[in-house]
Amino acid sequence: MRKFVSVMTCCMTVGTGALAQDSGVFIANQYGEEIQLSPESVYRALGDRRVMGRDVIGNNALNWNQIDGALPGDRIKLSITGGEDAAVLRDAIRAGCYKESGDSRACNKVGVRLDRLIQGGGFSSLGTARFDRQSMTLSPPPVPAPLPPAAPAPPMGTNVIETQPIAAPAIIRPAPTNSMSGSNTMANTKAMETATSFIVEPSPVVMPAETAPVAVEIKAPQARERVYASRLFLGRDSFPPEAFAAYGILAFQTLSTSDDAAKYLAICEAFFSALINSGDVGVDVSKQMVTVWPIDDRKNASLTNELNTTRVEDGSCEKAINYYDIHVARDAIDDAKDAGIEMTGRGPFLLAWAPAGSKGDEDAIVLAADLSDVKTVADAKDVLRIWRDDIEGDPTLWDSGFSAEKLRVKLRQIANRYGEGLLKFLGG
Amino acid sequence: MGNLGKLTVSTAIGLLLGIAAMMWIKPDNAGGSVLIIVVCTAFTIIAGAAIKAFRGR
Repeated sequence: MRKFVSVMTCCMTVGTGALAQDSGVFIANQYGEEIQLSPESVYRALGDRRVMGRDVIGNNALNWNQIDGALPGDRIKLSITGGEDAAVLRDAIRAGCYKESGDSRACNKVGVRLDRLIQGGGFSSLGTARFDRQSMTLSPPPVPAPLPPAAPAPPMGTNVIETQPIAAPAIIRPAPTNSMSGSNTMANTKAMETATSFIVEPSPVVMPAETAPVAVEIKAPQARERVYASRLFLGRDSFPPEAFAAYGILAFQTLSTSDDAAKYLAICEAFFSALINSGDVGVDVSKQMVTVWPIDDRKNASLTNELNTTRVEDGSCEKAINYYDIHVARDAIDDAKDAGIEMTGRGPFLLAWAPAGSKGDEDAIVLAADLSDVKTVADAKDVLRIWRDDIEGDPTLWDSGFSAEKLRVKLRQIANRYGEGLLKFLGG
Repeated sequence: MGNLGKLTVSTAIGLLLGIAAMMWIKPDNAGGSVLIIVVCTAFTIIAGAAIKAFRGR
């Protein structure tokens, strides 16, 4: 009995968070009481990126209540006293990231959303949090072990080609901090590709432009160039964007109404979050597979420039929805139907053609995704994440077939949709 | 093993299957978790009954 009580006490201690670490970030809740945020909440609110499984996406959370429903609905703002606070806060954010995702390698690259910081200290009850460095008891996640050495180059059939720069005009070279030394092999290149695709960094591993291009030996059968998924708000006169390697479109069947405006808004925010702005990708448009949100810019020619920003801004999604170009979307849906794609849902649909100029051809290769069951931003992010992975894959292998990830997302949507009803039915 | 014992085994397997499915699917709300566990439990109970019926022939 004593042992049982001891075990129960331990479980309750862990369960109630008595051993929780302090983030040092305080905010007044809806009742005016000052509470301390958990490290995970600090990371979700103030980390500049979110680590989700193998994905790293930008953090576009706007209000505190998006992080936790118990928090106020004000804009996320944090008051700090100086530059040292920012550095300590970064450790707290990384610790929160590590607690949530367990990925120390990705979390050690998470930074602070500087646009959410207010210098000068102080505390306001208007939704602005404050940071107390003395109260923080977190330590950053452990530094991951370096990557294993690259495998020796295979002796057969190699070609010598130049690497494609990720951020023009700079040239990719092996990162000096890891242990990928020796000859520039295919294994090195694949490892670098994995690293750069795993972490979406504004400044990937680059060297100054004056450095001579590096020759890399690559096996001929695997020499397919990588393409990058991006997003673009495009005016009616700019269709089709043939300069891109391929292009897709987010096609709604109808314009939004007061009843379904929330769904449109969720999809728009996920569109900003899951895909990178075309101008920020850092590679030539001919290596991008862009997903377009069509905009009717006949009455406001500068609207597309306002919307093509790195992060979602106040009012961006409202404008994108109000000026959605339904004419272009219906054309795209008709073209996809002509190519044999079955679209029985209410939509919206994600449709892509490769190459971009093949849109309208009956034998065009089309990739399609149905967002009919999407209700929340999280649902939309899941679908857009799969969409991004699909279009960055080999276009010749595009299909709408089965995959475990697609099944998981679909099951999650069903569970989210009908679970609440079941809970109410059971009296919960 | 009597009928009650078999039902208990089916229910236990269903619960375990449901918890595993819940961890894989990661629903966003508690209702989703309940739905998954209920569906998995119901599925294993029905499957158990079906297997028993086939074996009893």
